[in-house]
Amino acid sequence: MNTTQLWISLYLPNLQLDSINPDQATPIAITERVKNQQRIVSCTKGATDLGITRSMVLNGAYALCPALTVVEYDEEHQATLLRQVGEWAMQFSSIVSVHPPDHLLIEIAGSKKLFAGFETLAGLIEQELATLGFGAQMGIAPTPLAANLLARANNRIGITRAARLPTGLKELPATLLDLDEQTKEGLRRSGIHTIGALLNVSPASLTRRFGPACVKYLDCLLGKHPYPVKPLRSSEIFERSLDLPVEVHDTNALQFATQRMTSELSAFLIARDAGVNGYRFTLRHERHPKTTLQLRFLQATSQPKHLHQVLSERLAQTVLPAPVSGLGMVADMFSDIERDAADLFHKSQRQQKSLGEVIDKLCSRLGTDALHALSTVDDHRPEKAWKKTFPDCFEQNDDLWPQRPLWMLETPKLAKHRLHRISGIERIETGWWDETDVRRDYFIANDKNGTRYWVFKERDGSDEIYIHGLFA
Amino acid sequence: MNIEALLKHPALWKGQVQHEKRETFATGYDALDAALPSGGWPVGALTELMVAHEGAGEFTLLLPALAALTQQQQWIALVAPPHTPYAPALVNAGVALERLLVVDSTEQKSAYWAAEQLLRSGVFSSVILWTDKITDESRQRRLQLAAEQGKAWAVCYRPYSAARTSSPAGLRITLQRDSNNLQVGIIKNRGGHLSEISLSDIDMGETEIYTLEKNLQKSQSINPDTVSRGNQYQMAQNEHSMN
Repeated sequence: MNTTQLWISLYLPNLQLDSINPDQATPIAITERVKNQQRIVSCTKGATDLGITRSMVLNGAYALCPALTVVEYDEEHQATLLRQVGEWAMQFSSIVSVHPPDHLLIEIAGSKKLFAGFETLAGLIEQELATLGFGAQMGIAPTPLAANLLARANNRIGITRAARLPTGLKELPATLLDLDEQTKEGLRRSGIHTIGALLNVSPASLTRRFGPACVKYLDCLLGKHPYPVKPLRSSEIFERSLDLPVEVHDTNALQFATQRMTSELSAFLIARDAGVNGYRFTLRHERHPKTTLQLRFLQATSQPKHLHQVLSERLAQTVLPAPVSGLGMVADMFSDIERDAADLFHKSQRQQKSLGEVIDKLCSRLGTDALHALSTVDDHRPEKAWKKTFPDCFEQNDDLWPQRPLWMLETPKLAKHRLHRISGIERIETGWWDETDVRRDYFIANDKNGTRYWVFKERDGSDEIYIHGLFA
Repeated sequence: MNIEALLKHPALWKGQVQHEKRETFATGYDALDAALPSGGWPVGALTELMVAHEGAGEFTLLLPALAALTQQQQWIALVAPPHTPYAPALVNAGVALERLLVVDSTEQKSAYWAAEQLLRSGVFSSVILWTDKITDESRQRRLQLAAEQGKAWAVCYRPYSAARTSSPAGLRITLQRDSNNLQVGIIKNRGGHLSEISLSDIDMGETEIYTLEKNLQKSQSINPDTVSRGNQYQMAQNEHSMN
């Protein structure tokens, strides 16, 4: 047993419920089928206020609250949720382990220095978890199993040294132990009600009575035996999906869910020292194809506020084609974060905001398409000699061009008034191999106001003059 | 009484006190620099340009300064330009495109808003805004304030008739084309004098006559492996390889 370890255990008794209903006001219950009967596993405060309790039969609950929303417990979904919270916790420590169905272990001996002591770190974890909407009980101990035990006990006592474990745990009820029901029932019948009482029984007699598993568990609990922990590996991509218990008609109502998703994304990024340049957000509808929002950031970011602000501004502008029944978020392109953006700007001292922030703010109101940079393209066809690019993704090409007008018209316009040619002819013949075949004679012409145009005649013998650009 | 003491004497009138030298960006035109206080476009203030006819050289007028800024790796933004700013022409004028941001906006209100945000951010050295309707003074005042706050050179193109209205802008200029000259009328000039200048060296990129040599130079500078050029270029390439 490595004595330098220290574990925080998070016991998340209402994980599934918390994941769908953070406000607790709506009566929602998670049910599980036990012996052909649906029973309540957990429910919101809105439900308990109406008299619904744990392990109540579903029909009884319906009698108390006909409008009760019921979600059936799903083991697989529970595992996914636990892993997601685990990924979130990886921002605090590189060693995080999941203990299905509802415990999460975070090794903090290595991290506590970074966070100025484990009390600070524990406080931070608890606080951040609460903002995500997950109710958790926390335990701190030098062994994973003792941490789990203390989390379930919820007495807010932390133990930091293995030697202190027997005394620290002795008052706790034996029912909290992670032993099978049969063993616990046996202990109760033998009059062993506390952990202290159990530890006074000789290991030999325990083995005789309950088999070797019980003794082994106690050894691991107290750190006499190493307990193997399998560290969680972060997924390659960030993916979140949420089915809403009730359809939502207004994007404002999604605030909490989106906040959680972006917070989780942020934690995911911090854990791997990366940022995202964008992510995809989808709104699922019951009877309508899903709405997809593609969000982009000028500079890779991992800031939760920034990640969320851009999404909520985009959502505020989105007109919902139908009520929303579910949400999804995918981020799969990560890049190293620009730690020092100052060198990007010559005049960094007057910098109040980052370029990325300004651009994202503008994009959120004007739309992503409204902002772009320009780039030249090595193509003879005037309309293909430039392109819009995303700011910051820039290929440099400083080659000079023959004289060109500053303004280009989107589409060439037939000249209706009299123009005089004032330059030589530039023949542009290109693109015979693709659809935009260009065979034109370009020249500069002016009108009676002195305005100069870049015009062309098609080389098919027609006399029409088209205005393609304007010298300004 | 020595001269220093004399100069400090409250009864002495010293004539016009030299204004503190303000930060400016050289315009690239000597005559214009000479007419502007501290010799260039005013930083931290709004410049209004009222153009009689589109195509007078109104955008070319700004390019030397804009090119210099981008070459110094400073950001500039074009907000709601009336047409597509043509990248090859900007490159010819020396603009480093990697420091240029274009914001398209069909709604004038949004365009003003965007320009204000960009100016205020302090990230952009210059923000150029095109407007086609005369709005009330408060809009211009907001631009002027945003320029002060962000220490940027703000430029707003306005309809010619706006010259008759009042504006809080620090510098107001009317532009008109007269044969080959650009007539620059300085109708408001904070810290300077009003004047009328005729710029003859405005080169909108059209004075140079297109030559085949130039075309060949352009052609040879590209990768011979790509077959993305037209007949002319194919020929040029063949000639080149025969040498």
